[in-house]
Amino acid sequence: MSTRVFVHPGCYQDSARLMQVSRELAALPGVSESVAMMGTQTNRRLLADAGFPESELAHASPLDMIVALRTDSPEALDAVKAALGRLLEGRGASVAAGGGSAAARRPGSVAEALEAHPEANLVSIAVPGPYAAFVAHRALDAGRSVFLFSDNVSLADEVALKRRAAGLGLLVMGPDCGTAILSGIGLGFANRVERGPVGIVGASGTGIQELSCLLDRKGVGISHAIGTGSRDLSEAVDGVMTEAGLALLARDPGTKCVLLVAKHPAESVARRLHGILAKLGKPVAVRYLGEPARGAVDGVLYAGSLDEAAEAAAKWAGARAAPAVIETIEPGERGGAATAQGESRLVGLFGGGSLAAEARCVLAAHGVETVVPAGKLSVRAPLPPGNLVVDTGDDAYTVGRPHPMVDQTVRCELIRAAGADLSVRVLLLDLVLGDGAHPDPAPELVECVVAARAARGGRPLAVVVSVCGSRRDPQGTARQEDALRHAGIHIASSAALAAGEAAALLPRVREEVAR
Amino acid sequence: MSASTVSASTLNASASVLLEGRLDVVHAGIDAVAEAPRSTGATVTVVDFEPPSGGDPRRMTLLSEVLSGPKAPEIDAANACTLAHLLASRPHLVGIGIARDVIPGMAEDLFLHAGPPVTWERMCGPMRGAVIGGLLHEGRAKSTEEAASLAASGAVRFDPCHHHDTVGPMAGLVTPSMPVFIVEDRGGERAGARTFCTLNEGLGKVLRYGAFSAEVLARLEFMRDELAPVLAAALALRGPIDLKHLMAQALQMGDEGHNRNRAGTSLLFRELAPAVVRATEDRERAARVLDFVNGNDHFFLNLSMPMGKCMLKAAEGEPLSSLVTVMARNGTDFGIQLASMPGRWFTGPALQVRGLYFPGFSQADANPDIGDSAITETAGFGGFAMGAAPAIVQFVGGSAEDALAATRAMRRITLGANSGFAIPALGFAGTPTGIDLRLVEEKNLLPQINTGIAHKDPGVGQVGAGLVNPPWEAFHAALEALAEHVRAAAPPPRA
Amino acid sequence: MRSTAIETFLDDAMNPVRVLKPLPCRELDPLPGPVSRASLVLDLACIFVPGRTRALLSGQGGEPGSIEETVVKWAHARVRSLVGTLLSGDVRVVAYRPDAAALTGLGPGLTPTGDDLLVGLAAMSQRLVGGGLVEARAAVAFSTSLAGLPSEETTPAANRLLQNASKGQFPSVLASAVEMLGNPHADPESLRTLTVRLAATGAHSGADLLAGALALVHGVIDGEEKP
Repeated sequence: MSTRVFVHPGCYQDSARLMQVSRELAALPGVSESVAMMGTQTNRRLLADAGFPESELAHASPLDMIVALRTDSPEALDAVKAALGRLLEGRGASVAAGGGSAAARRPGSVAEALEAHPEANLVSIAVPGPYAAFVAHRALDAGRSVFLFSDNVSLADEVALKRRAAGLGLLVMGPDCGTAILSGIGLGFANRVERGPVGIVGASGTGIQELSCLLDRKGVGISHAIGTGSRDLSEAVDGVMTEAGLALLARDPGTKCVLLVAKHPAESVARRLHGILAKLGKPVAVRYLGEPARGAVDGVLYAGSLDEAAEAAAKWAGARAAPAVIETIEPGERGGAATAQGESRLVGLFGGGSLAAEARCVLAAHGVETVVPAGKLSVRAPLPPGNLVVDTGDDAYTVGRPHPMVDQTVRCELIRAAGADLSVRVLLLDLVLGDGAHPDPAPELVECVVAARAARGGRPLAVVVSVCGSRRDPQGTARQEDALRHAGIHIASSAALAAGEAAALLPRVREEVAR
Repeated sequence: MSASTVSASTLNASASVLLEGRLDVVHAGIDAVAEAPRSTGATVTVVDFEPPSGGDPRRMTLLSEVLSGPKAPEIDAANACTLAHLLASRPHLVGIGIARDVIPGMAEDLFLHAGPPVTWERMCGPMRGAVIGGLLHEGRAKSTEEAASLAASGAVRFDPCHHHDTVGPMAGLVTPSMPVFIVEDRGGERAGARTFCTLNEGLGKVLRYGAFSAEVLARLEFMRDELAPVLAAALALRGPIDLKHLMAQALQMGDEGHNRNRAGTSLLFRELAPAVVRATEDRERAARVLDFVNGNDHFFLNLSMPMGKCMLKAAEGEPLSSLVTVMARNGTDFGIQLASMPGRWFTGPALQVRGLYFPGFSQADANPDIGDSAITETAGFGGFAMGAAPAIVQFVGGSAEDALAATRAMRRITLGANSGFAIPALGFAGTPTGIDLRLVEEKNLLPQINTGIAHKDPGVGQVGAGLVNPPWEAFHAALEALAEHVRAAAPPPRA
Repeated sequence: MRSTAIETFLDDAMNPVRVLKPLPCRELDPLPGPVSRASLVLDLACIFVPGRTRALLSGQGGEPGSIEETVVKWAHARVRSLVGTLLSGDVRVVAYRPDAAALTGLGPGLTPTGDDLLVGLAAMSQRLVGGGLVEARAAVAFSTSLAGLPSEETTPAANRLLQNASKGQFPSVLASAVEMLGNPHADPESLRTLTVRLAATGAHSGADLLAGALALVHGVIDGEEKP
């Protein structure tokens, strides 16, 4: 008679499955007793008292499943190991939908997928908006957190989902959550960055991406980046998931400091969050995109740019200061002779609203007033006047089309249109790399810029691109930067830096002489 | 504006699992979004996503309420109880009686029929033919014309068999003087409950297909005057027969209890033969009775059906339960009922059966789906046990693997499996049992029914066999009602 | 006929409905119906008590020498002690801690049996305050002791249940059954239905929750005092 203990770490098995394991193993020949229980302190004590080897029990935790056995032969033990393997993979005696060729067949619904994979701990949803809330609730039904990439989910549904999730102690990241990185695993559009001590909570996907890349360039890794969806800090949603994310990072031993990024939080929410941030217990920096710097308030740093926030975090993480990437603009390249108002302007074409907001903020600080054109720009009509900043990720451009981070068609058309307009002297772009994005965007962009320049009869067109990419991104950040550089395109490592350079490149406006 | 109810200790419970180093993702939707977790080393399981409930926004809201809403766990618990009652039932054949004597609510001017309520005007050909035959059999009319005008006049009332704990195959006509099997529940909490069904006439030109010729009437008389009394006496001698036991064996011998009943009939024959011989001194009579049973491969159907009805009757009445307890057709409409609202029909049009036709016939000749025999699928066998009867697939033009696949598919819409009805070809897994309306809607998957096809003209008979589904309308209507029922569910009484 | 077929079914093999959901909780009805010792006695006669619950209430169950037998014995002893402390009216949180700590994390299940017993007991103690059968401050002291149990000692799912219970929030299937127990105006059929439904919840969580609640009922009826 020998006793044996198997410990399966992090093994999420519902009680019915635990019972099934106990029962099926007990029925095997040569097994006189088998019991499957979670590794709580009391159970470990119980098993130790019953004569099971303590040393094997010592390492189990309440998140682990312990299978304790009394067998009378080594052969019985082999049979047990095989049966246990089968049971944990979910191939029990019942008719699974799919049966013998279950491996080949995909589950037909989230509920079934979770039943077949009890070890799954997250549901990622990118179905059309009208169905997303339904599916998210099914994930919550099964006790799993949700990464909700889908947009076009109603506000009422979002509030209901997040309140329910909060009550259950689960996360609903979204709707309209473009990016998250948990335990080093990317979700949605995410850059491949190292693990490290900086935690991020963000209502802006690209905001999270740029922060993670800026930190990556400084050699600093992140612990987790928790996305909350773009509307989380609105009054109706009241920051439920932002608060949840902050609480998680506050308790996470791997997180030493925290960054928060969002666009235009509601007053009341920002105020409440401030209280929470001030008492978080770890250094915090906040970037509310589009807002000017406010410095430290009650110990919370309200940065004026993503760069500033990343810089603060890097310092807290103990990194040596590293220079930002920015191609030095030769003096000769700057604007040239002054021109009349309206004769030389800037057009910014961004893949998303967050970096567009960042750029506008910096441009304004440099005295360049920008305007966001109402409605969709047509490539056949002349561009409206003024310094334009366009978010090509806006609904107007994306209905029926893939996301601009994946498909550059719309942006390229607009580049050509801007190029054809001789009053446009500077083009400001963002290029966001990482998983989920276009596999090789720089060459396409270069081709576009070259064509645009060729149609201007020699009139210069300066192009500045902020490259949001990490050292390990699949597109090869260095390679992308090289391609741009060789085409005479200025590159910068952040939207703020790029905007600053774009402002410098714009010819000064000649003072109108009063007649 | 209430603050979130998040607290550190609550979070410790579940979301923190995500920060512990292992992410195992289930993904539904655009595949590009699953790229990131895949590339960074997570296990990703992709779902073959289909919008639930046909993508209809209003229905999805109702469905979400009953699947994920605050009362959903109570619905689950109610369903668990319902299924437990169903599986705990022990239907036994205890006797044979005359309809007017044993069927509750039977009356001299009442004819019972298959499916949900229907008027003479809306009855299909086979059902009208059966009514005419019934009137002739009862002696209420002397000619076809007289019978037809009598039926149209309202002199005879019509009511679904289901309203009287009865079931009938095809037209399912039950008249007051017809003999019926008496099936009694001898297990479970609802012990003592009884269900009824007429005896199976055989194949070809029979009343249940709307035939009413002299041959049909003569056979009905034989069944009433010889067959039934002898079998009743035999049963009295032998004692009650455990039907689940027979069914379980038959399922392992190639039957599924709806379209294939040969093994069940053979087993029944074995049980009854000695008692039949002892029940009558007239050897020729005994021989006629045994010949009759022996000559009808579907004789057992008229026992598997009331057995199913008995199991489902045990499941009725549990408030909040979303389990389907009745699926029945009258040749014009298809009706279903839920455990939580017994007696309430949700209907839609009966559909055309997809299948193979006997030589000389085609879909143009077919009557829409008809009969109470869908009670077999509702109770978790018949089409739900197709994997046990691969020979059936000949009728549906498929392979043996298709039969197994069909059974596995049904497991997706049922609450559990009946381990008492084990299917050898599926590793002795139990048949999928307990259709949950919510799962049907969520997975856009209707129950699959194996059935015979009747000629649309009365009196011609069976013209083929195949597969059919209920209409979506019936399930959609039931979903609306369930949502309302759940919302209105009263809290427990208190002083 | 008081058949035991459903008992056998619920006791037996696997529960057919895999309830993977965390149970939503709610507060007990703030206007409790009356509760009397006499009606509790009557109720015990007509409610549904599955085999597992009976084992936990009697302290006897499982194969001799098996882990299951030990779990049932340990659980029974600790619950009995808690019932005694509650009925003696002890208002010190520290009086309940040792037994609660011994129960948390005990036994099989994603929510271990011991935790379910604690939650069932807490729900019933709150209900019986209404009838004056349990001292209000003793019930509060007991609930508070649940909040202080170290979270690492049991599973996350059980932690959540305990935290909710300490705040007076219980799984609605438990709350519904507990609210009706002891109410002289409740009809036996509904009471039985609610206890069946509770027992059918989860793989055995329902049976364990019921055992916790009934342990206190038995204690009240038998007039137990702290030894």
